[in-house]
Order: sequence, then C-alpha cells, then structure tokens
Amino acid sequence: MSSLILDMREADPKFKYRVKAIPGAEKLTVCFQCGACTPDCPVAKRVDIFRPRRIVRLALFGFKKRLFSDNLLWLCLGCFGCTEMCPQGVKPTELIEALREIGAEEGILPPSIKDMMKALLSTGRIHRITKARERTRTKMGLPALEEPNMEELEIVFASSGLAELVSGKEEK
Amino acid sequence: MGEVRIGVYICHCGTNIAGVVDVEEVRKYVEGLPGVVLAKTYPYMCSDPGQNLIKEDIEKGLIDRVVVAACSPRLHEPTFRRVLREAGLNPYLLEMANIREQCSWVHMREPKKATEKAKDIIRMTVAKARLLSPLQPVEVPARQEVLVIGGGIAGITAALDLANAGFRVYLVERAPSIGGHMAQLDKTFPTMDCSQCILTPRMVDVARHPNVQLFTNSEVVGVEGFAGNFKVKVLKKPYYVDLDKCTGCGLCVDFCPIEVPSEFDVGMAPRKAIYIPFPQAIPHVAVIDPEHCLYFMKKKCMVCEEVCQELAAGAIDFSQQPEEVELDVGTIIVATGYDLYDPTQDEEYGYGRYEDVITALQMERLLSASGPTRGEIVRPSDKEKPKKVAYIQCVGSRSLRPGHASYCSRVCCMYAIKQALQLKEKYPDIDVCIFYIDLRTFGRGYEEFYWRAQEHGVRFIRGKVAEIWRSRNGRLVVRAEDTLTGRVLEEEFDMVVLSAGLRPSKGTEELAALLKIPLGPDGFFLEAHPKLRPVDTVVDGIFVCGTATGPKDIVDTVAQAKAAASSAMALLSRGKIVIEPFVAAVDEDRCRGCGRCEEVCEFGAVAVEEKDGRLVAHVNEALCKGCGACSVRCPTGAIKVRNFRPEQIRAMVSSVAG
Ligand SMILES: Cc1cc2nc3c(=O)[nH]c(=O)nc-3n(C[C@H](O)[C@H](O)[C@H](O)COP(=O)(O)OP(=O)(O)OC[C@H]3O[C@@H](n4cnc5c(N)ncnc54)[C@H](O)[C@@H]3O)c2cc1C
Ligand SMILES: Cc1cc2nc3c(=O)[nH]c(=O)nc-3n(C[C@H](O)[C@H](O)[C@H](O)COP(=O)(O)OP(=O)(O)OC[C@H]3O[C@@H](n4cnc5c(N)ncnc54)[C@H](O)[C@@H]3O)c2cc1C
Ligand code: SF4
Ligand code: SF4
Ligand code: SF4
Ligand code: SF4
Ligand code: SF4
Ligand code: SF4
Repeated sequence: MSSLILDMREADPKFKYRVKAIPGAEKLTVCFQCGACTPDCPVAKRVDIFRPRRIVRLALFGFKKRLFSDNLLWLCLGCFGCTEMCPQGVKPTELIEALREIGAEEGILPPSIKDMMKALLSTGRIHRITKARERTRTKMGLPALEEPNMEELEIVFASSGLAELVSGKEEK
Repeated sequence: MGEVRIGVYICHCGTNIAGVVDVEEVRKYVEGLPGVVLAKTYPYMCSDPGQNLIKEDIEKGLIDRVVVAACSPRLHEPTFRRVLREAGLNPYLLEMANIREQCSWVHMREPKKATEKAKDIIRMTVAKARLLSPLQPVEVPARQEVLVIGGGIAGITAALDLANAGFRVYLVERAPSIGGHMAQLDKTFPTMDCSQCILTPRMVDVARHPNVQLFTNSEVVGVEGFAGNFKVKVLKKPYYVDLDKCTGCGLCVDFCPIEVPSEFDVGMAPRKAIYIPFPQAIPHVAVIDPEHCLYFMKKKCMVCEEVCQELAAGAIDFSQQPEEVELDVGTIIVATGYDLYDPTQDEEYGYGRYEDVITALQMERLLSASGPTRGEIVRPSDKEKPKKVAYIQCVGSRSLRPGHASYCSRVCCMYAIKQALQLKEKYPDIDVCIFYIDLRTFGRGYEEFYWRAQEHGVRFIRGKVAEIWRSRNGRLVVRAEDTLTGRVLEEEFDMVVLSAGLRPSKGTEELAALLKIPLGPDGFFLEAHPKLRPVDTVVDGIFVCGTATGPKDIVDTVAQAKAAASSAMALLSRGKIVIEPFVAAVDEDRCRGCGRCEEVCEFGAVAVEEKDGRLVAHVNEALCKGCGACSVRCPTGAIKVRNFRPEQIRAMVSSVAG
C-alpha cells in the first residue's frame, strides 16, 4: 500500500496521454489539486485511500500499479458529486470510468466485477431475481419482467471483448 | 508616371520566418516579378543594418518603391516608413507583406506550402506597390482638455497628474461621490496605511484643483470624434438637492423615515432615502434616492424639505431634472474600476442564507473605525464577538464553473491575509483560518506580509472548501480536504468570510460600445498590448487604467493611472495630431454631387457641398476612417481611399486569381 516515498521509476509519464485520449478524461492534466472534489465524496468519507483528488494525481503521474491495486477505481459510485464541484472541469467521475476502461483492456478487473459479468453472460442479469421480488413487482402493479435477449447479449460480449476478459485471460 | 523600380526585402526574423519559408527560393522568384528591380534577404530587417540596406539602395537611386516582406504592419510599418523618410523617399511608397503572422507562424508544419503562400503574398503586395502614390500625413489641431471616466483612485490619480501639468480635466463619476472602492477599505496591504487617510487628501485635492471640473452622479452617454477632437455628452443625474446650498449638515437624513441597506456599507448598515454617501464624501452633500423616497413613490412626506427649509439651508429641490452637457476633449481616460463578485449563486457557501457568511468587502466595513460597528468585529446574527473566523479563497475566481471567472483575481489572497492580521492584532486570541488553493503574494513586500501573518498564528489550510452549513448550535461548519495531509476536515466557525473576486464594473459593455473599444474575453477593457502598450486602447486618444483592465491592487492601479496620464499628455502636448492619410479623396472633376457617398458614410465624414456654383462631395479627413464604403457606392469612381484605390485592389486580386 501507500509508502511515504514515491518511487518515480514506477511512474509512467506517458500514461496521462493515453488517459486523455479517452472521451470524458481530456482535462486530466489541468487538475490543480485543490481538493474540492474530495470532501463530499461518499466513498472518501469511508475509505481512507480513496480520494478523487488522489486518483487524479496518480493518473497524472502514471502510478499505474497504485491506481490498479486495492480495487481503488471500482469503489466510485458514479454520483458525479466531484464533477459538480471541480472548478477546473476535470470530471473525476468520467476520468475514473476511463481508467476502468484502461484497466479492463489490460485484463485488470476485480473478481467481484468479473462475477457480475459472468452472471450477466449466463443469466442475462447482474442480479438474481427472486420469486419474492417478482411478487413485489406484481403487487406494485409493475408489468412482468421481459426475458433477457441472450443472443444480443452474446454478440455484445463477443464484439466488445468482454467475453474474453471474463472467461479466462488472467491479469497481467 | 514612369517605370516604377521596386526593391523587395525579405526578412528571416531569425528562424521565425526562415525556419519555415525557404526565403532564398522566394527571393529568386520575386526578382522576376514585373516592376521589381532588386530583391534581398536579411536575418533581421528591423535591426540597424537591416534598415540601412533599404536606405542605401534608395540613396543610390536604385529603387523608388519598397516592399518589406516580414511581420505584421502593426509591428514595424512605422519603423520602415521612417527609413524611407530618412532616405529622402516619400514614406507612403512602402508596402508590408506579412509573411510571419499570416504565413510562417500559422503554417509551421507545412514549409513547402508556406513558401508558396509567401510568394503569393509578396506577388499581391508588389502588384499593389506598383500603383502607390506619394502622400502627405494629415495634421489636425488637438484640444487640450481631457475626460476621465470613473472617480476611484485610478481616475483621481490620473486627473490630478494631468491637472498639475496644466491640462483641463473633466472627471465623470457615476456615483454621488468620488472615491470608488478604496473609500470602503479600512487598512491597505502591504504597508497597512489607513485607506481613508491616504485617499481623502487626494479626493480633496482633485475637487479643489482649479483645472478640474467634477461631474458626480453623472454618466457618459455619447462619444463622437477622434483623437484630439472628441465630442462627449455627459448626463448629470439630479441629486434633488442644490449642491451650492447644501452644507452637508445631515439634518434631513436624521428626519427621513425611510431606511434601505447602505451601498457604501455593503448592507452591513442601513442608510436613509436621503443620505450623504459616507463621512468623507466629495461633494459632501445629501442626495435623494428616488427609487425609495416616499415623495417620488407616493407624492407624500417631504419631511426633508421642511426640515432643511426651517432649520438649515433650504437646499432640497424635488423639481431637479437630468441635464445633458456637451464637452470637447482631446483625449479620454477610462478608469471605471471593478465590481465585487456576488457569491449568492454558490449555494454550497450559503451566502445570503446564513447571515454570518459575509464577503471580504463587508468585513472591510466591520473593520473600519468609521464603519457601522466603529471597528468592532461582531457576528451579524447575534452581534457577538467571533472566536473563530474562516476565510474561503478564490470564490468565483479560478473556476470554469458557470458564472465563475477563469482568471485569478490577484488581490484576494493579499486582502484575506491583511484582514486576518488585522483580526489577530485586534483580538490576539481569535482563531483565523484561511482555506486556499494557492497563495499569490507576488509584489514587493508581499511575501514578507504573508510571513507576518504566519508569525501571528494565522492558520493556512490548503484545500478548496466544498460546503458550509449551519449546525444546531448556530455555528457554521466548513468542510474541506486538507490536501497536504489528505484528511477531510469539518470545523466549526463563528463567521465565514468569502474572498470574492473582481469583475468588470456594471455598464462596461455599454461604455465599450460608446467608445468603440474592445473588451477581453474576461469582460474587462482590452489594452492595445499587454506589455508594450498597457494603458493604450486600439483607438487613438483613448486610454484605460486601473482595475478597468482587470484585477489589480492599489499599487498597480496608481502606477497605471500615472502612465495613462503621461500618455495623454504625450499625445496632446504637441498641440496637433497627425492622422494617417489613408482617407477618402474626391476627384472633383468626376463628382456629380449625387450624395450617395454621404448616405453610406457611417462616420458622417462626407458631405455634398456647393463649390464654385456646383455640388461636390467634401471629405472631413479628421472624421474619415478610410473604410471605403463611399468608394463602393460612387457611380462615377470619383471618391477613392488613398493608396487603397479600386485599381490597386483589382491588381492584387488579379495577381493571385487572374
Ligand atoms: C475586500 C477588498 C480589499 C482590498 N484591499 C486592498 C488593499 O489592502 N490594498 C490594495 O492595494 N488593494 C486592495 N484592494 C483592491 C482595491 O480595491 C483596488 O485596487 C482599487 O480600488 C482599484 O481602483 P480603481 O480606481 O481601479 O477602481 P474603483 O475603486 O472600482 O473605482 C472605479 C470608479 O469608477 C466609477 N464608475 C464605474 N463605472 C462608471 C461609469 N460607467 N461612468 C462613470 N463612473 C463609473 C465607480 O463608481 C467608481 O467610483 C481590495 C479590494 C477588495 C475587494
Ligand atoms: C529568465 C527570465 C525570463 C523572463 N521572462 C519574462 C516574460 O516572459 N515576460 C515578462 O513580462 N517578463 C519576463 N522576465 C522579466 C523581464 O526580464 C523584466 O521585467 C524586464 O526585462 C525588466 O526591464 P528593465 O528595463 O526594468 O531592466 P533590465 O532589462 O535589467 O534593463 C536595465 C538596463 O540598465 C542598464 N544599467 C544597469 N545599471 C546601469 C547604470 N548604473 N548605468 C547605466 N546603465 C545601467 C543595464 O545594462 C540594462 O541594459 C523574465 C526574466 C527572467 C530572468
Ligand atoms: S476538484 Fe478538480 S481540480 Fe480540484 S483536485 Fe479535484 S479534480 Fe483536481
Ligand atoms: S463520482 Fe465517484 S469519486 Fe466522484 S464523488 Fe461520487 S463516488 Fe466520489
Ligand atoms: S521586421 Fe518583423 S519579421 Fe523582420 S526581424 Fe523585425 S520583427 Fe522580425
Ligand atoms: S421626502 Fe423622501 S428623502 Fe425626504 S424625508 Fe421623505 S422619504 Fe426621505
Ligand atoms: S488572488 Fe488568491 S484568492 Fe484571489 S483568485 Fe487568486 S489565488 Fe484565488
Ligand atoms: S516545510 Fe519544513 S522546510 Fe518547509 S518551511 Fe516548513 S519546516 Fe521549513
């Protein structure tokens, strides 16, 4: 985990350009580390190492190992609180999404996410729908759930490379 | 006209041009153009040896027209004109071909195409140069009066310098008193002079100066003319008080039943519907605010008139009307200052919702010994002395969020440190904490000032505050990340002061439109060049200074005001103004006096007049801007702009498209 000395040999100065090329993450390099994004972040309130500001910093310096460890990137709830506060238009929410994309491209996915993907691929849903839930739906007057279209899902999984990610290829 | 002999001089500009454009290839090409007798290249044409190259060729009689292919004419056209004049050639037989800003700089990655484009640009310029005629500059007398718009420290300083140099000055101030923001401040960084003590004597000096005429409660509503001869309309709004009779005794104020928040005290105290803006106001007279006065709203009351009539000077005059005055001036100085950013829109800070969240300007009024609390610091909500005060920096500045300004407001770091020090000096055990992103203490003695605040125990926390809310006990909770430790903190304070930024003053756009001077993307007036012409505008004869061109402290504001005054003097002191002769000229033999030119001229510069028994168009050269609208409209080709004649334009076009 975090040590007091940053070993700059671990930093990849070119990483930021790869991140900036992803739509939504273009403003990565203009973060001036003001910290406005952090105090209202619901995750930062509970997890010490999670600071949107810190994630931006790590991405800027290219500390990939730290970024992609501790499931850091996957803790974000996507609430957009940080994005609303940021005076520099950095959009940490979208930046984090971009970083997840890069992680996924490199085969770095936390097991919980992999499990979710596997469930999606096999059942067509992320969550299991219990009988009790279905009853609640009917009670509330909601229409019955449609059966997931597995054929379409498979095409999406195959063409986006998700299938490969989920099925075997281990972390690099 | 015999055969012309054109010399073309192609500049490398170091590598600025030659690094992209193949200047030697261009030179060879240019040599073959009709009319060109010689073409040379040189590393820096504007240097002494570069200039001599042209001079020698003229003096040897080799050439009688000059084309310099280099930078923008805005930069060095005057330089090369002078070279021609010194060599004995009419200075208007020069053309600049801009192959830097319009070629090498914008096509840095395409050297081949840039070289071709440079050839095209020079070919066009040569085509035009073949048809140049010698011209004489136009001279017009310059009026010796100066208009200064805005009576803050910038306007007052400029007016005083000019008046002391013997020029007559009209100082127009929109508010009922001169003084501007500086009158509202308590002490001033970095020396901690009392603001009023250094400002008031200057206000008195300017008001009493025999060369200065004040127009307070007034606005500029019309501007016409040009450097040396502006005609200005000033609208004097009524005070509803006779300025000659009112003694400023304030009796009327005591009796007036209407109270509204005071502008001067930024809402920290009330004022009456009739009021004297502040104790040191100049002119020191009462003024009625017709938007709140009962007489103007409901035709009743008139208590002030009665009191003044019975017990004082009989100065109240409800019948006063706005009055328009016309002034003739040679130059104009714009010193209209700034407005403070209104943080109401930043809901996370609760300004306007929580009484104890105030702006730094409101804090100045609390700190001021002549302010509503006589210098005592009290919480607005319960009038208690605060034990803990937080400052929030960069409010509305350095932010791309909607309604915010992207720039740094320059003074708020320093004024927050100043106020923190003042609080510490008044109440040594008070806790003051400044939440900042970066601290900007760049001036002489400023870093040392910051140091003093640290010595006094002011706390500095590096983190932009995300939210302020009121806890059950009525205190304000500030939440921020201390980015230096990565810890999120929530801390209670009794008062929170917002270091709001500086914005263009209200009415800036309208004034810019009247004066025909541009604004920058930040909304402040734009100077002609940020380094070389910081107080000039693109309009000759109009200068600008102080916070009207962007956030500044008093030190920089006064320096600019003095610079603007000297620039105005430099322009007027010769008594006449030289205008470029690129204005419309009428060939009277061809003119039929139809008046179409007069119809299209936006500047009122052409008029058809009777001359020797027939109608002909006549151009007022001082008014003509050389736009050429008349030339297009004229059915006989009688009116043309000198050295921008249709045949020249046609020659340029056909040299590239023909
Ligand atoms: C809270 C605070 C504290 C500060 N403390 C310090 C300090 O300690 N030291 C320091 O150096 N600086 C300080 N400053 C900055 C200082 O206020 C400015 O540098 C200075 O007042 C600028 O003077 P000015 O004449 O350019 O503008 P202003 O003071 O704004 O004066 C402009 C004048 O023009 C008038 N006007 C505007 N528009 C028109 C118009 N269209 N027609 C006619 N008149 C018009 C206005 O009514 C006003 O009187 C502080 C600023 C703030 C907000
Ligand atoms: C690395 C660097 C980069 C910079 N970049 C920028 C920039 O990008 N933008 C910007 O705005 N500013 C920049 N500056 C600042 C800029 O250099 C100064 O603001 C500017 O040059 C000051 O001009 P000056 O005439 O006051 O002083 P100087 O340029 O120092 O000129 C003083 C002259 O006086 C002469 N002199 C000295 N003593 C005597 C004497 N006793 N008798 C006769 N002559 C004397 C000296 O020989 C010299 O020619 C930069 C500065 C540095 C160091
Ligand atoms: S709010 Fe924006 S600029 Fe400030 S630290 Fe977060 S991402 Fe960077
Ligand atoms: S979007 Fe993510 S990082 Fe941003 S505030 Fe919400 S949870 Fe935190
Ligand atoms: S004339 Fe223009 S292009 Fe040539 S050296 Fe001077 S600045 Fe550069
Ligand atoms: S007439 Fe107007 S200004 Fe005079 S005392 Fe009445 S309300 Fe006040
Ligand atoms: S001067 Fe300081 S407080 Fe003001 S905008 Fe600049 S950095 Fe922020
Ligand atoms: S951080 Fe350390 S070195 Fe720097 S000023 Fe503080 S004590 Fe001194």
